[in-house]
Parts: sequence; structure tokens; C-alpha cells
Amino acid sequence: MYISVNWLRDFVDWTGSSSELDDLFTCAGVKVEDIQEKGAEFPSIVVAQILESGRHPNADRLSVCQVDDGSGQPRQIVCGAKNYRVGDKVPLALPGAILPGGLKIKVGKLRGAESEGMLCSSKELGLADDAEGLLILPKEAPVGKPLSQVYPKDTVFELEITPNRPDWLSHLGLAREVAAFSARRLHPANIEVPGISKADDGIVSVQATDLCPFYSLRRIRDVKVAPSPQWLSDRLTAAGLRPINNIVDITNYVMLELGQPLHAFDAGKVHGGIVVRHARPGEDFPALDGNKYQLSAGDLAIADSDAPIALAGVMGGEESGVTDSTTDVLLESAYFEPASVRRSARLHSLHSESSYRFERGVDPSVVLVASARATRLIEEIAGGRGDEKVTTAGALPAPPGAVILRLSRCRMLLGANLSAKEIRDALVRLGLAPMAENEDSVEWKIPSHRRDLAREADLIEEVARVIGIEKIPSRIAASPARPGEADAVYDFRSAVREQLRALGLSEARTSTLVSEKLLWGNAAPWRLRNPVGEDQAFLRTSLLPGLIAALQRNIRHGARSIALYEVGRTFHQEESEERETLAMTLHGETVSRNWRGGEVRGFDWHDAKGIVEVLAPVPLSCVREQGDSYLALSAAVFAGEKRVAMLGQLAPGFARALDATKPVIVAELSLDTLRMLQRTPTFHDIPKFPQVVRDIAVVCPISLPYGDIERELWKANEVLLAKVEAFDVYTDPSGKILPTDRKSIAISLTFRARERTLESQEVNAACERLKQQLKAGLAVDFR
Amino acid sequence: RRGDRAYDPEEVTGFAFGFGLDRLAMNLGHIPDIRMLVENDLRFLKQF
Repeated sequence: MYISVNWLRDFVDWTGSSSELDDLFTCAGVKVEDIQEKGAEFPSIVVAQILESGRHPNADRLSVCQVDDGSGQPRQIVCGAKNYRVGDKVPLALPGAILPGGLKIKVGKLRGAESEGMLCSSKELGLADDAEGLLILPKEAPVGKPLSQVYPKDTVFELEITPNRPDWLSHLGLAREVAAFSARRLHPANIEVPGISKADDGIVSVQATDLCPFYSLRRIRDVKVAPSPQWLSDRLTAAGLRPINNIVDITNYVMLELGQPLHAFDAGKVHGGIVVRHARPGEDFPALDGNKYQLSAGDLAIADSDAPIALAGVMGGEESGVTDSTTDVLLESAYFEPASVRRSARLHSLHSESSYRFERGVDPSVVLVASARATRLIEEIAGGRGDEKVTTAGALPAPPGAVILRLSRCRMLLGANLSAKEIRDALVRLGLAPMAENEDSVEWKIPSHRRDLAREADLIEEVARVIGIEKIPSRIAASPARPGEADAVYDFRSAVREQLRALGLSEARTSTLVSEKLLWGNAAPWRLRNPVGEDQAFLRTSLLPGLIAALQRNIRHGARSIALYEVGRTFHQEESEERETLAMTLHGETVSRNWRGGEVRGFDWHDAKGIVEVLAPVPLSCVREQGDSYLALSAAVFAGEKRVAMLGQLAPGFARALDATKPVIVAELSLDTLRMLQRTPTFHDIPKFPQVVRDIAVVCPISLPYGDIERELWKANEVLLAKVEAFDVYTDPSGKILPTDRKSIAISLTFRARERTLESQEVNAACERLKQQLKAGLAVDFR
Repeated sequence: RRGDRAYDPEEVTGFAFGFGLDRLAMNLGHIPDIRMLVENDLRFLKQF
């Protein structure tokens, strides 16, 4: 919302600077978006009228003019512009004037002709960045008077008004706040409200009383519709509105001044009386914006005997609008139910300054005041006579209820030892009045424009706001809190992130809300009822789609080594739960090319498995499983019976679509499960006696999983066996050393005894037993 | 008094506030565009 400081001064004695006003607004809670200084002092620049204009005898491009500068004597000026006519009023810079650019004006000869001053363009005056020719002033500009009367110095503030303070949507409302926060005097708008006559059905009939509790209409006869006077259109322009004609402008002016939207109908175009009713479904309504709307049953229509003439609170109709031919005006000022106006505005996507204010709630006590004010302005500016009485229907909403404030509670919540007087003064400054008082509490009467103050907490907030939050002393009031479950979860999450960072992965953050195409797999997702857009309509069921998208983006930027992880929430409709999840994706070179030479290895499945082993330091087993369709390889990782993770590799077609040239490895884990697996390590005695290592080479079918071999070895329950580790896999595609369908796995077996050194024969025997176990259980050979 | 299990303001007081962690991070890290925080470009991630 744009406000003019000059206009504000109609209501409050503000004399401070723009930056002081900026600070005041900010401290009061009004957000200042922009400040624009307008106009200027223009010393020695006056309004002049061109009396004569003739060709310059010695210069084709120049003219010699005689202008009236208000002194009685014509003044000769040489001028280069071509855009004026005799009779126009233009700015005249008198000798001695200094223009904003620094140019000093003096009497002189231009190409042989005397020039006793200079006629100015808006650019030369600093009013515009560019100008073609002279600035032609409005017809009513007073000749001889200083230009600053036509372009008065003013400052326009652009403010962002929060929804909880609809009373700030007017100059009067903001002036009240300025007065409260600067202890300057407020001049209330002393406007006399005329006598009220209760409506008879001939003039106004309200049928939808729930949506329109109160309606008023004033007839003003014999008006002369014309452009508004300069001061009025200047103020409207400063506030961001376009001047149209004096009647419409006055309704807008009063709205910006007092906060009550008004509407003027051409009485000659209204047939019969006015009816305020629900619209009939499908009823046609041609609005002032040039569009035709089809009303619905939920819309509130202001209608005459034929058709709707306004969409209540939103916009007036085209046919009944005020035009040059209007002679009698019907001035509407009403209280419309906020939700109803909001609904209609939303439904038709039709928003106006009027609907904006009605939606947030106008001040009922201003409804008739605004009508009286506008009537008086119309009488003064457009001629015309307002009828003696204003016709009303219904009743204004009741005044707000009183609120009791306890001093002790105020001090306790604010944490400041404020005196009863300080608290009282703060609220009185806002227009509240103390009614009943006792030891600790005061009952406050709430002014009509502060219906947002409904309970004690609201008043306490206001006390803090007026006194200034920065005035509340700081102190340390802390006590140690016991660590809880939430802390354990948080600490574990931080530890996991640290570990992964240390392992060389980078942390990614992707969006919790996703589009349908980022929902992979079969899990049923939660869909939002009112998403901002289709690309944020679902709660994610997995972190992987988002991570893969990030992977793709990085590939596109030329990244050769990508290792990303994310810790975040996933949402599962079937189990009705939110799960803390960890996911990773790996692709490309494990390390960058370096001078040590050699082929750089790419990430593969085992790298992911290795990371999972770091995160879950317990015995793990992997089981192949049929994954979702986007995976070529998928395995579940178990710690005993508990499922810990999913590891997988993207299907080649899928990976190609991402421009991935190497395998894309993915993993997803439940953080909660991971946390449950954490154990505080306990000490195991370090073996006092040496270990013995024996290597065996197992020849088996290529398809036999290594896991089976290892499981079989442990099944033997060999007491002396301490560790099993595969360290080589050998295949021979030529078939010369090994058949093409076999592989040879080199396994190192570690033996030890707790209480003694092992003898060679014992180890050999144990080794043999293990080999027998493998032969019997899996039908393998050795070499 | 309302009949539900919400905290009674007469018994319990506290603070509620919302912090834009993204904007705080942008301030501290001099990050010019908030979108960088969700694009996950490694050239950005590796700087932190």
C-alpha cells in the first residue's frame, strides 16, 4: 500500500524526517518496502502562461515567446521546444534560479534575442528521466505562483500491511499508529454524520442479511461530473490509483483516507429500488473492468429491479457506473461479511482495493462517517446536494467486547518489571480506555478499529510492541535439560552424516514434496489436498528419485565422480508413518586420475556394501531380491533377522537415460533400524598366541554365490577357525586352465587357539575338515 | 478447561518461533541464490 506523508499530516503532527518515519513504522511492525521522495521546493520557478509565440529572426529552431509570469508585465523568453500552444501553462525558471542539474538561469541573449528566463521540461526539473519538450502544466495551475504548489514536496512510502491489522489500510489508521509511537498529536477526522432514516423497501431492501448486516445509501442530486481537482488526483496518483472522474475519485479518496470502500451508482441507471440479495446461479454481470461474469448462488449481488448492478464489495457494474452524463448519484457505504467477499473475489479471480479491505474486515464505526465525508466532498467539488438523511438497512456489528488484563501476568510473560502506569499508558496510546480496575487487573474497552484485540495475550503483545521489545532487559534464565529420545535421534543423525562425509560423500538435500513422476516403486504415497503445484503434490516415499535427479544434474555438468547421500524423511501411507531414512548414490570414478597411474576404478556395488558395513558394525548378510523395475540388481542387507538396507544398481536403460556411462549404485536404509544396531564396544582380550593363516582355492560354478561358501565354512563349527576372507576371484574365458563355467575363489582361513600356540598338524587337520565340509555341502573342488 | 489435551496457558508458558534456516545459512555462507541449496550441484556442495 502506498501512502503520502503530506496526506498523513492531515491527521497527525508529524514533522520528523523520512528515515525517522521509516524507523517508527518498522518498530511498530509495519514493513517498509520502499520510500520515494517526490516533488521539490523549486525556488524561483513559477507557473507562467504563454501569451504569444513567434519565430526567432535568427534561428530556425528557436521561438521567441511572451509569457505572463503573474507580475502584470509580459516577459520575453527564447525557447527551443515545439510542443506547446499559446495559452498553455508551463514552468518558468526566473533569473537567479538554479536547476537540479546545476544550471544557473540568467538574463541573456540567445542568437540576438533577449531571454529573461527559461521555460522548462520535466527532465530539466528533475521530475522525469526523459522529456520531449516543455512540461505542460494542468489548466488550473495558478499563474505566477511557485511551481512547488503544483508539484508539492511529498514522500511516498510503500508499505506491506500484515493481515492482522486491517486498520492500517488507510491514512487515518496509519496516522493513529504514528501518533501512538511518536507521542504526536492525532487530529481525529471530525466528520458530522447526518440523520439516519430507516430504509423502506422502495429504496433499499436487504434480503441476504447474513452476508450484509448493514447497508447505507445516500442520494446526491445535481452533480457535475468532471476531472478531479489537481490536489485530489495528485493524492490518488501518489497512492497508486488512477484518477477517473471527480465522483469515482472521491469514493477512492475516502477509501484511502478512512479505510471504508465506497461505491457510487448513476441514479439514473438504477431501476426501482436497490436489493441486496444472493445472486441467482448463472446471472450475468458485466463489470466495470470490461469483463462479463457469471454469478453463483454464493455471490452477494447489489441489484436493482432488473439485474445485479454490483458484485458486493468487489466491483461495480459497467452499466450503472458514473459517467460524464450522470446527474444524480447513489452513494453506497456498507458492511459486508468478510468471508463472503473473499469467496466471491476468489471464485471470479476478481480482486480490487475494495475487496482487499472488506476481506480483512472494515471498521463498522467508519461506515457512516465515510459516507458523510464523501458526500461533503462531492458537494464541494462536483456541486450537488446530498439528501438530508442517509437511508440505512440492518444493524452494524456490535462493538468489540472488553478485555481484562492482569498486571502480574503481563510482567510475567514479558519478563519485564513494568509499572502499572507504563502498562496503562501504552494501551491508552493505542486508543484503549480503562474501565474497571482493581488490585491486579484492569478491564479495557477496545476501540472499534482494533477488533484484533480479543484476549489478554493480545493486549500483552501490544504493551510489548508500544514499549519496544528492545527495552525488555535480557537475562539468562536457563537450566540444564535432561537429554531425551529426540536428542539421541538427533545426535545419531549427526554422527551418520559425519561418517559419510569422512568417507568422501557429499550431503544433498532434495525436496520432501515431489511430483508424480518422482514416485517410483509400488508404495502408496500420501497426496496433498491443496498442493501449490503438480510438481509438489506428493510426499516422497523414497529419497532415491530425488537423489538420482541430483545425480543426473551433476552428470550434465560434467562431474566424473559422484558420491551423494541424504538423510531425510520419507512418508509411508500403508504403515501410516514417517521414517527417518538415509540414501546414497554412487557413480563414476572412485578417485580422480592421478600421477600414480593405473586405471582408475569406478564405483561398484561393493563400495556401497562397504559403506553400509561402516554404518552398521555388526555381522551382516546380503540376500538377492527382486527389486523395483528401475533396478537391475537389488539385495536386502540383514543384521540377523532385521532388515537394515536395500542395495541396488540401476537398470542399464534407466542409467543411460540419465547419461550415466558407468554403473549407478544406490542404497537406502532406515535410520531408526541403524540406530538400534549401535552397540557400545566392549573389550575382548587380545590373543596372546599367534594366528596361523592358510589359503585355499575353491573351484565352483560361476553362479554359486560366495556367501554360500562362507556360510558353509561357518556351519562346520570349527573351533579353531577365527576368520574367513576371500581375496581373489579367477575365471578363465579361454577355458584352458578352468572350464568357462567355473571360477576359482582364493580364500584365506585364519586359525587360532586362545590358550596355546597351534601345532602344524592341528591346523592342517582343521583345514581338511573345512575342505570336507565344503565338498560335502556344496560339491566344490580345490586346486 | 477446553476439554482437550492441549497445554493450559495458565500452567505452561513457552516460546514458539520459526527460523528460516535456509536464509540463515545463506547469510552465513554468503550464498546468493536459495535454489542452490536444493540443486545439489557438487561444485556447490564441495565448498561446504
